[in-house]
Amino acid sequence: MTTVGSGSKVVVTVGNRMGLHARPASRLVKMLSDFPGATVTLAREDNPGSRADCRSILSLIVLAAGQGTRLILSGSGENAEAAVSKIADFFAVNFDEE
Amino acid sequence: MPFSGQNFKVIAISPGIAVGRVQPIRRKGAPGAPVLHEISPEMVPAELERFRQCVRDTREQLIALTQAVRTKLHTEDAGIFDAHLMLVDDLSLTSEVEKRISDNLWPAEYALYDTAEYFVRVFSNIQDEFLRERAADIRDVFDRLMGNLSKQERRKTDRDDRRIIVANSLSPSETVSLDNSRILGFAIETGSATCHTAILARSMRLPAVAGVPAEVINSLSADDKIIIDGFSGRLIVNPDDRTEESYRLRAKSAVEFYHKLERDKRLRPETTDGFEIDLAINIGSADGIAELKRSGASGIGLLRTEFLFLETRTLPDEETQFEIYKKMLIAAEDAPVIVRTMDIGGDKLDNNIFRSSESNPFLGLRGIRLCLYERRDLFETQLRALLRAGVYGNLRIMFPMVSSVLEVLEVRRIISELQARLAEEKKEFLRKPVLGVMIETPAAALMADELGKHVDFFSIGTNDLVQYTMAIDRGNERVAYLYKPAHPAILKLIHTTVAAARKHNIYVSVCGQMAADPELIPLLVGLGVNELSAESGSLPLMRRVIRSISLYDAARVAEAAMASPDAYTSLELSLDLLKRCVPELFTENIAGKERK
Repeated sequence: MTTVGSGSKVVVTVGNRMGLHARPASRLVKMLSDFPGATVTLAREDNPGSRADCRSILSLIVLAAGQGTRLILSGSGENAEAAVSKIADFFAVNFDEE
Repeated sequence: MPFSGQNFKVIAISPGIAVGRVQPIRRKGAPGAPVLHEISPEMVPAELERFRQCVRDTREQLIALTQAVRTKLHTEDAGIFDAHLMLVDDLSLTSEVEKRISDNLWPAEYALYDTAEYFVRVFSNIQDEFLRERAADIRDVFDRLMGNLSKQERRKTDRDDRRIIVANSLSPSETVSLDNSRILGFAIETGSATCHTAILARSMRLPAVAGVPAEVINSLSADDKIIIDGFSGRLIVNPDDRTEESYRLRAKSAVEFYHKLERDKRLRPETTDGFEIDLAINIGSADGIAELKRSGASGIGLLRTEFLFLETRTLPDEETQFEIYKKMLIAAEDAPVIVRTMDIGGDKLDNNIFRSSESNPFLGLRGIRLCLYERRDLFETQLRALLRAGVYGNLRIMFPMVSSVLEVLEVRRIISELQARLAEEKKEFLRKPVLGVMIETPAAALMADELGKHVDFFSIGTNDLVQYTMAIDRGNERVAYLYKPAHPAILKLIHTTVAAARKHNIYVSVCGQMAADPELIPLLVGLGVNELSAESGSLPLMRRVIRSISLYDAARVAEAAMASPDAYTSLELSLDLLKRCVPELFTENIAGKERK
């Protein structure tokens, strides 16, 4: 995975074979429950309009982020930086999948 | 209905004839749009409440599933239900549906259907192959929601008539969940004589056909009437009166013939020259034991234990399993009961429970492989329960999907360990369990001589043996024409197995679909197997065939069949013998049906 930029906006890459499917998406949603004040979104780098709310598993899956997709991860609000960094870490370990 | 009056050639998978109205079961991929009609604004709150109730029901089911799975399985497998639960709770899903109900004045079904279609459309545009496949998760959730919604509906409109189930395909758990007393028969698109729908239909003595074209399945509605002929493989849509009448007559004559055969159930299944073939039955649940007396079988040739996992949706502990096995063994009195240890993998499980991520599960970690290398905990629990229950009857334990002697040695080592622990715990258990292996891989058949040194019996699982030998997926109707148990390659593998068994003085049973096919019985008898085991509904016909032929003739036919160039020639040899010895099979249209 690659991380570009700083603060509460980074670019992450989907590294696992299956992509951002239901299971990792659900874990991602769960992670955000520790950050009730933060708004975190993911958007495809190649289509910034495709913005997904990271609290909605459905919108995450609809992103259709397969292996190798670059996504813009941005956060705002309370503790946004911590939330973004936690999610970026989750991308970095390929969602604990192969 | 565009196909009215048309007569389709399909695949016969369970004998019998049914004439009746259709009960369509629509699921994944089928364009089963609910009827769209506008509702009055006063009905909106009620429809919203129906949808919310269905969300609550779905949540409850998923929570129960998650818990059942989490206690016994990898957390990874339980994780998928977490994801499903989250999808159900997802605000964008519920608000989309509710918006359609209140703004468009749509009934809940149509609102849910339309929302599902929207997301499915989004998914079908996904380029990434893996992700597109994972979109199945969303479809699963919508199917579950729709199922719960229509259950509410069904309660309202229950009509008390028996119907022919029409579906693209039915999973084992769906088949089990159908109400038997309402079913006249089955007509499905995807399936074969060895699929679970076929096995179930035969055990319920209901006719079934497969290979029905998808466009026919999708256009049939509850108002259409069809005829299915499970003898010759025919499906007729909205027949004219004459056709219907002639089929009703044939159905009656076929039923009478079967009843006549049933009266012979006390006659010994021996050939005309006096060789007895044991006739046993395959059962898939504890209740099946009742079939033992009813069918006049000598024992249970195959008890599939997957029901333990499917029906309760939890994995029962040792005590529960012990009680189930004990009760069955006592009920069987001294008749032998062959219990197959859990055969998970391949098509054998509800994907909702054991979601495997293998790209080719039939060649993956299934049967004994899963038991030895991944789920040894479950395997040991089952073996302990069996060893303890074994003292109450005539138990034989059988292991599926064996492909190497090393697996048998490992199983034996585990059993000794478990016995030592049971002895320490001062529990009663079988000291010398009777152990056997399924011969269902070509490797096992070719190595039968080695395997025979370490086991007490063989049971040939022909469904998988044919699949693995011919390299065809049994569920794939495009290669179904290659599914030929009479193929000389299969006969040679059975011959090798029987020869090894004779050398080691152990017995050979056949528990696959081949054992139940009257056209193939002469070959099996001729090859020298000791026992044929099938669904109880097939026994009367099997008994008739065995009692009509001689071992001498059958052995000569089998020898010639093994030396024949292809499956057609070998089948012809068997049919020739049957025409001479059991002509009633042909006058009743049971054998000699068209085979490609």
